[in-house]
Amino acid sequence: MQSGGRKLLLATRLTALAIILLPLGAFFFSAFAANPASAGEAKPMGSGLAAALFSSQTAAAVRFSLSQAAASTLFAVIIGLPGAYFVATYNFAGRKPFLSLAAVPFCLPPILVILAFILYYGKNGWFSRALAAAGLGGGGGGFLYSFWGLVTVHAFYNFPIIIQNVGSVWAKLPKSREEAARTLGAGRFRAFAVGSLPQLLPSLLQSASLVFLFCFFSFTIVLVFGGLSGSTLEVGIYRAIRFTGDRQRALALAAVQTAIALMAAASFEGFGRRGAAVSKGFGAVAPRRRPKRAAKTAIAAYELLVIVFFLGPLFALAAEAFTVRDSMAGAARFGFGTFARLLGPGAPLVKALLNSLSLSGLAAILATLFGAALSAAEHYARSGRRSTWIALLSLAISPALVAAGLSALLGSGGRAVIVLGQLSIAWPFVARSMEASFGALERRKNEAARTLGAAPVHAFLLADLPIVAPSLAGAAAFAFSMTMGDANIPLLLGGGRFETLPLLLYRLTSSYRFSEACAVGIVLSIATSAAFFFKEGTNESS
Amino acid sequence: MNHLEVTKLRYERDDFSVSLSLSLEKGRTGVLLGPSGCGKTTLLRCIAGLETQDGGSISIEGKKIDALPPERRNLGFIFQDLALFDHLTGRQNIAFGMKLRGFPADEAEDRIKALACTLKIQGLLDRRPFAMSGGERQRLAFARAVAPKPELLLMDEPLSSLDAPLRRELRAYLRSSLRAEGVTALHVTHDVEEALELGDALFIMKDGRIVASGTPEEVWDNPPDAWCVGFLGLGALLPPGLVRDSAQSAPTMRAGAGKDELLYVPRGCAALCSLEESGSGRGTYANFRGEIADLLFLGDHRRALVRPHGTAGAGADLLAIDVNAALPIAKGESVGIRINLERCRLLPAGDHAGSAGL
Repeated sequence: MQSGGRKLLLATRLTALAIILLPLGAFFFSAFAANPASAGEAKPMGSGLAAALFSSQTAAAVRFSLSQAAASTLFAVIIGLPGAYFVATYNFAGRKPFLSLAAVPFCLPPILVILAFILYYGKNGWFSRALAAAGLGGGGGGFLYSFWGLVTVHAFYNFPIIIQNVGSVWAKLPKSREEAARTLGAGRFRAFAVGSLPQLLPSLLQSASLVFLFCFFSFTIVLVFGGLSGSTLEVGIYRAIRFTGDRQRALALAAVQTAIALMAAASFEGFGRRGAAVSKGFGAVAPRRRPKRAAKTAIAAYELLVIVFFLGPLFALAAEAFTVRDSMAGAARFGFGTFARLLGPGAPLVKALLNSLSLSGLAAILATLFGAALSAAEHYARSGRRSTWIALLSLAISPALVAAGLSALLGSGGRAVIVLGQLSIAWPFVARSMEASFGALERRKNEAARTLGAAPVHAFLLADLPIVAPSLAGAAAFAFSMTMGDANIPLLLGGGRFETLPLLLYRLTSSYRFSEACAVGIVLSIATSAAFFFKEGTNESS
Repeated sequence: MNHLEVTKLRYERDDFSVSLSLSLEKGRTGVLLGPSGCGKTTLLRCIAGLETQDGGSISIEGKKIDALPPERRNLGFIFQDLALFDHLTGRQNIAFGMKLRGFPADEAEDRIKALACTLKIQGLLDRRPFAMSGGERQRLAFARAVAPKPELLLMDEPLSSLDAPLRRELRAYLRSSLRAEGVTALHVTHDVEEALELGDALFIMKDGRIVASGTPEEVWDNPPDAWCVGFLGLGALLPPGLVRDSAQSAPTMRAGAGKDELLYVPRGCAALCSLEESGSGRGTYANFRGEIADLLFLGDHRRALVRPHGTAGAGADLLAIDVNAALPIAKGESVGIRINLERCRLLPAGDHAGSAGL
């Protein structure tokens, strides 16, 4: 299997590099070929790039990207940490739903969350109206479009990641160090700081760097809510490509973005390794307690906070989808009228659903196959050096740049280019998660199958596939959710020819047809979460 | 007055309960010995304040400590996994408790040096625990626990994760360090050898109760029941009927020894004799026949595991009889057995199920 594995590894690595480098090269070429400044003799080639690199606008974009990502991460950690403690320590009503909140960032595309937040916190939103009704100011509509509005949406998106990742480590954390500190004279908080925090810190920092990366690359949310307060690097790249046509500037911003992202990714990896080393000595999950009075109150308060501030928008979205009004100011009632309209003449919902399934579904399948092939090849070739860096590199490159590169390479408006674009954003996630499950395989089992007479492929099918199959299903579900929810690639590469669900949602939202947008949102969230819950069903532990 | 006094301690959780009293004199090492799950660790954690008992009281030097949080009980605790602070150096680990208990900095430093010297860990003070060997970590954990001069040192099987030779070496260290520090200690283990080596007082625990206590000699000479004999490996347990016929005059063979009793034959009370002699017991000797079930080579001697005739499948132990290596006997051979009944006793059978008889 080793030599076959080597060939497969080489082939998959080259393909991965091609997927990354070809669009990048095409963009590079287009940036210099199309830019009159570099064609002329007056300016040396790349001067536009250098100027953009050191411009004050770039500095401002870097500052804004970093500060919003840092603030969002901090906020997510502050909200997520008590939740992580509660789910790790106590048995309480609502514990399971809390843990399944972790699916939110993966199931709900940004465009959907944006809509939900507008409905809830916007000028006429539920929350703002409730505030006004209670006589507390004239609603908080403007808040959403500020720096802190952006940070709040990001925090909503990411605090469940903290709850789940930190909570799972916290549950396994041996209490003996904390108890040792207590017996040596430390009070509760000091004992926690000395006994538990150092062991918890790697996983906390790892989750925080993951959240930081997500927020740093956040595009749609910043585009909508960050507009007035500033622009991130990714939004800057998009604007430079789409509106000003200044490709060298886009390249400069992308280079800075990639450099920062690689640093964040490296720290994510580093904390991950540190965390794995620390948690190696952890035993089984400690039994959870039933909360006593004070803890009960704290948990109830926390649940209320999360429901009012973070789940409220999702309830508002669901409610709006099933609300029918006879006129603009008419009384609202429950009904399926909105869905009926979308399924009526022209049936935009059906068309969009079919487009989404055929484009994103195909992209997800290809991404799963390719990502799994890469990590399998790596495992069986015993390469030692991991392909992690290829996947990380791919994650650190601006999607807008990749899309523009693909468009320069293949032209836009075709199905193939959209599928390829979505494939290129989804495969690294598959490869990363499959790498972990292949890494956890016990080689002995495969070797045992070989000594019992199984050929390499047969040994894989008998000994290894049954073990990795659940995580493969999980990775596929994740890829599907991701490509289904993605609005950027069809927007950038579709040439207006293919209206997918997220694009339909986007179009309806921008023309203020909120009820219909919400109905589309419901369909979209069912599509993106169905796969995820199917995966949860196949393997609880993954 | 005893240094540590645990009175009618009660702890109940689901299907597990602990209910016991014990006391320990100042400067002595008490060893809690019992099988896994018997409540040894729970008792230790209650004393440390890491678990809350449901009843009874714990006092040290006459002062009740039940209401105090762990940090105010002034106890040392060595955990099974040692629970060293990996982000702190050896020195910082040892200094941790002294700092919190308000030791002046120079006194703390002197004490660290003295302890490091006694325990031979001077070279490790600036290293972090993860860069130390198992034995070094164990000694560091001991230094950290005793540094703040606790009124009582609690040790929860700290040697259990080490391999046998290292465990023997560290037992010797622990014994001399406990004496040198003059600290009162309560040590938990399920290793009989360890208990004997370290304990001034033994507390044998079973199912949350203390079933025997006293000095090791007292416990050895007076096991309360058959279970205790089996757990401590004190000797063999035989059906009383086996020797009654051949030794009716023996003082232990009082009339009416019932079904719920077993004859406890301490190690060294049985010997092989010729087949002719068997059945001719007199005075305090009982003679009968058996079969050599197994023969172990132990270097300078051999150990014959003998099954008395008529006891197969009766839940009786095999008798372990050490013999000269040159004695011409073989596995499966019939032999005569002579038991000196002076030290044998009838004990309540309890839930004894028979053992290999070692």
